[in-house]
Amino acid sequence: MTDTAHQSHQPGHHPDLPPPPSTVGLVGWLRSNLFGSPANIALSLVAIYMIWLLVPPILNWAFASAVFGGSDRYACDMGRSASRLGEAIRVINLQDLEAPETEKAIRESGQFLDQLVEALDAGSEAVPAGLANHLEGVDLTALGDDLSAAFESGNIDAIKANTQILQPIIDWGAAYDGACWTFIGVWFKQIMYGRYPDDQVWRINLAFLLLIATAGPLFVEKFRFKAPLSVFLLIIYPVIAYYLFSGFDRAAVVAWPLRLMGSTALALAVLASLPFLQRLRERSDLLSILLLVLVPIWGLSAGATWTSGILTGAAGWATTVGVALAVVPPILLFFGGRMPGWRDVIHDRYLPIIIGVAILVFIGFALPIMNWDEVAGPTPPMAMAVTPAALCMAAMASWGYDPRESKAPGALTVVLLPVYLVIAYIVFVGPPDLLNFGAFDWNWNARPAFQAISVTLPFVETPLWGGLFLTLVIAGVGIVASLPIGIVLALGRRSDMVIVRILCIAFIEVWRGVPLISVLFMASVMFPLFLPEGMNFDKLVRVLIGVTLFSSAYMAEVVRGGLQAIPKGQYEAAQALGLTFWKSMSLIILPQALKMVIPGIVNTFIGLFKDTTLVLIVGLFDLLGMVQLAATNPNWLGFSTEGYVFAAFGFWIFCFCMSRYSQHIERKLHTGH
Amino acid sequence: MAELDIAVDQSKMQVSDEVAIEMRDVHKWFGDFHVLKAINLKVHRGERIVICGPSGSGKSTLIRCINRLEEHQRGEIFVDGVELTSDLKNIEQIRREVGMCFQHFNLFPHLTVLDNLTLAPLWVRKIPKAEAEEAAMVYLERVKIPEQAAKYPGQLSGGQQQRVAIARSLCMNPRIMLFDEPTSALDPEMIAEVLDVMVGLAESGMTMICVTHEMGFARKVANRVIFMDVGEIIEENEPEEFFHNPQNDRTKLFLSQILSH
Repeated sequence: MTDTAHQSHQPGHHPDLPPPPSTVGLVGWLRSNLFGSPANIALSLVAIYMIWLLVPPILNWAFASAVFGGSDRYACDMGRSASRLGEAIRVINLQDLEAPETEKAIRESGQFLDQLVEALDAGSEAVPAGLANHLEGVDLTALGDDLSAAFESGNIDAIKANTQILQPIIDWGAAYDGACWTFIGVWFKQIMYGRYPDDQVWRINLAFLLLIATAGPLFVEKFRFKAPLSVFLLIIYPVIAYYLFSGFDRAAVVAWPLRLMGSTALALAVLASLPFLQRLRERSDLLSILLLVLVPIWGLSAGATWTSGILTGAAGWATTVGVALAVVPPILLFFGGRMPGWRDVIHDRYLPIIIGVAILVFIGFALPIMNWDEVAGPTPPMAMAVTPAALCMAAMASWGYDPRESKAPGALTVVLLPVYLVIAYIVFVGPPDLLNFGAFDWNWNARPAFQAISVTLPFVETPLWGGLFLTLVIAGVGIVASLPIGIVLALGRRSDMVIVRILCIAFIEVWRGVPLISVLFMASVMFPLFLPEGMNFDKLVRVLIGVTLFSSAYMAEVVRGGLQAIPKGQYEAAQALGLTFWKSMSLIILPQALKMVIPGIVNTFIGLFKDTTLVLIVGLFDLLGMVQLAATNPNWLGFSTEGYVFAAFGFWIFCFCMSRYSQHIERKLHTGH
Repeated sequence: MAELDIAVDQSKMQVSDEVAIEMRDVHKWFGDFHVLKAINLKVHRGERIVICGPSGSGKSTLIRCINRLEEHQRGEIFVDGVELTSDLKNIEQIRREVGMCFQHFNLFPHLTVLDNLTLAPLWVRKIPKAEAEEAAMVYLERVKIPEQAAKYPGQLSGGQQQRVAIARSLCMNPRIMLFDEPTSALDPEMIAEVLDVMVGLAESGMTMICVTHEMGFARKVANRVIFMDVGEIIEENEPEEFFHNPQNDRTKLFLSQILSH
C-alpha cells in the first residue's frame, strides 16, 4: 500500500520549496548563532553580561563624562577639585568655626567656584556633560558669596543650606571618572609632527596630501594609467617627499640633481655594459672571469678606502658610485644566471634591472642625508681616480652599444656620461683654474654659484621629526622596501646557485635571530663607532635600514612559504612555454605565491608598523614616544591613560585599515579554484 | 580498452625525411638511479610516436629531456638540428618550438583561459596583444571551447582544462608537440574529447610524441609505438605489428596486462 499524500510528485519533478520559517530571518539567525544549544545559550548570556559590565563604563569615560575642549587642565581637574572640596567640607567642625579645617574649606570652595565659573565662561565643551546637569539653576557667584558670608557670620544654618546646594556637585566629583581629551588637544601637534617647526608643518601635510591624491586613483578599478602612476609613486614621489620633509641646504641643492644624474648615468652605464660583458664572455671565459673577479676587488678596495676615512666628501661619494658600478653588474649577472644580452636587458631581465636601479636610487637617496658640511674637506684624489673608471664605463657602454639594435638607453648613456663627467668635474674639482686642490675651498655654501641658487626650503634635521609623521615615514619606507627585498631573498634561498642560497640563508637567519631592539641599538650606537671621524650617517637613515632589513628577513620567509606551496607543474608549464626564469617568476609563480600569503605579508606589515614604536629606545620620538613625552610633562602629569588610549587608537586605525584592505584584495584576487 | 571512436584520416599525415628530433646514446641518472639507458631515437617531421611502458620505465623522463625539463647527462639530443646544451639561449629557442601537455594540465589558475593562452605569445614571442588574442580565439575554436575564454581554469572540467592546455601550447606555433599522459587524470567521459583534439592535431601534420596508455589512439594515429622498460627502449614498431606480433617477452606481458581489461 502506498501513501498517496507523499507521492504528489512524479520522480524528478519535486518543486523547490521555501525553507522552514524558523531557519531564516532574524529568528533563524538568533537560533543558529546565539541560542542554538544549552552551551551556546550559556556562552551568549555570559558574553552579554560582560558587554553590559564593560562597555557602558568605557563609553562613559571616553565620551559622556569626558572633557573635550579647553586649553589647560583645569576643566579636567573639576572632578578632583570637587571631591577635594567635599573632603574639606566633611571635616568642618561646626562647633569651632575658627579651626584651620574651616579656613581650608572656605579656601577650597572659593577656588572651586572660581574655577567652575571660569570653565563655564570658556564654553560648554570645557565642562563635563555630567557636571552641567547639576549646575542648572545654581548661581555660582552668589553661592560663593553666600558661603563665605555664612562662615564669617558663623551662621550654621546658612552654612548647612549652602553646602547642601553644593552637595550634588561634590557627589558628582567623588564619582567622576572621565577622560581628559584636552590633554590630546593641547599636545596634538607634537603627537602628529614631533618637534617639526610650526611654520613648516605644511610641508608634511602637502606631502601626505600629494600621496593621497596620487595613490588614490590606484584604488579605482578602471583607472588606466596605473603602471606609470606606480612608477611615479615608487621613484619620483619619494624624492619629492624627501625634499618636502627635510628641505635642503644649499649644498644639497647642487649635489642632489648631480646625484640623480649620477644615479641615472650609472644605471644606464650598467645596462650598457652588460652586452659588453656578454661579448667578452663569448670571446673568452678567462677574460670574463678576470673581469668578474677584478671589478668587485676594485670596488671593495675603493669602498674600504672610503670607509677608512681617507676619502670623504665628494670623493667619497664618487667612490661610492664606483663601488655601486663594481658591485651591481656582477649581482645582476649572478641573479640573471647568465650574461644577458641587450634584448634580455630590455625585455627579459627587467626584474633584476629594476632591483639594480632601485639599489642605485636608494644610494642616491641615502647619501644626501650624510652631513656634508662636516664631511667636505680633504683632497680628492679619488675623484680623479674615479674619472678614468667612469670613462672606462663610458667606453664599455659605447662598445656595448650596437647601432643595429638601436636602443635609446645605450645612446643616452654615451651622451649622458661625458656630460655628467664634465659637470661632476667642475663641481667636484672646480673650474679649470682651481686645479690646485690644496687651494680649493670645499665648503659648498661659500661658493658664489651656490649662493645664487639658495631658494630652498629650510633644512629640518631628522631629530626634529617625530610623532605620527615619523611613525608613518618609518613604517612606509619599511613596508615599501621590505617586500621586494624579501621576495629577492626568498627566491635566493630557493636558488640552485649555492653561494646565493647560502648568502640568503645567512642573511635571513641572522636578521631574524636578532631582536629588533638590538638591531636599532647597533644602528644608532655601535655603527657610528666604525665610521671615520667627521662622517655622520643620519640616525634616521640607519634606523630605516635596520627596520627594513629586519622585516625583509621575515618577509622572505613568508614569501618562501608561498613559493613552496606552488606545485612543481606550474614551474614546468612556464618553462615549457619558453618563459625565462624572471618572467616565469614575475608572471606565473609570484602572483600566485604572493596571493596565497597575503595574510602573512599583511601580518608582517602590521608587525612592522607596531614595531616602529621601538625607535623610542634610540631617541627617536614616534607617535607613542611623543605621547609618553607629553604625559611626563610636569604640567600634565596624571593623563597618561588618555595618551596611551589615543596612541593605541591611532595604531589600531592604521593596522585595521591594512587588515581590511588585505581582505578586500584577497576577495578580489580569488579566482575560484 | 575502449576502441577510439573517431574517424582518423591517415592519408593526411605525411611523414617527411627531415629529422625533427634525434637522440644519440642518451643517459640520465636521478642520483644513483639510472633512469635512461642508451636511448637512441630519431623522429621525423610529421611522425606521431606513442611511448608506452610500465610506470617508472622512464618514458616521461625521456620526453621531458626533449625540452630540457630534465637534463640528460650523457649523449646528445638535437631538436630541429639545434643541440640541447646547458646554454640557456638554445634551451629557450627549443622550448619555443616544442609544445608540451602535462598529465595535470598545469594551467595557470590565476589567469583566465584567454590570458593563459596569450601569456607566452605576448611575453616570449612579443606578439601584439590584439593579434595574440585573435590567434588564441582561433585555437580555442579548434579545441571547441571558445565560449570559456573569460573563465578561470578552476571553473572548467578536467577535459576542458586539458583542451585549454593543448590550445595554450599551440598558441606558440610549435613544430613539435609532447604529450605526457594527457588523459591519465581524466574521467572516461572526458578522455574522448581530448583524444579528439589530439587526432585533429595529428591530421594537421604535427610532429607528436605521446606518452599514453590509450592503445586505441596508438593503433589509429601513431605510425610508431615504442615500448620502454627499466630505462631502455625494449621494442619499437608500427602499431599493427606492435600489437599483433610483439617480439619481446616483456612487451607481450605488458600488452596482455593492458589489453585484458
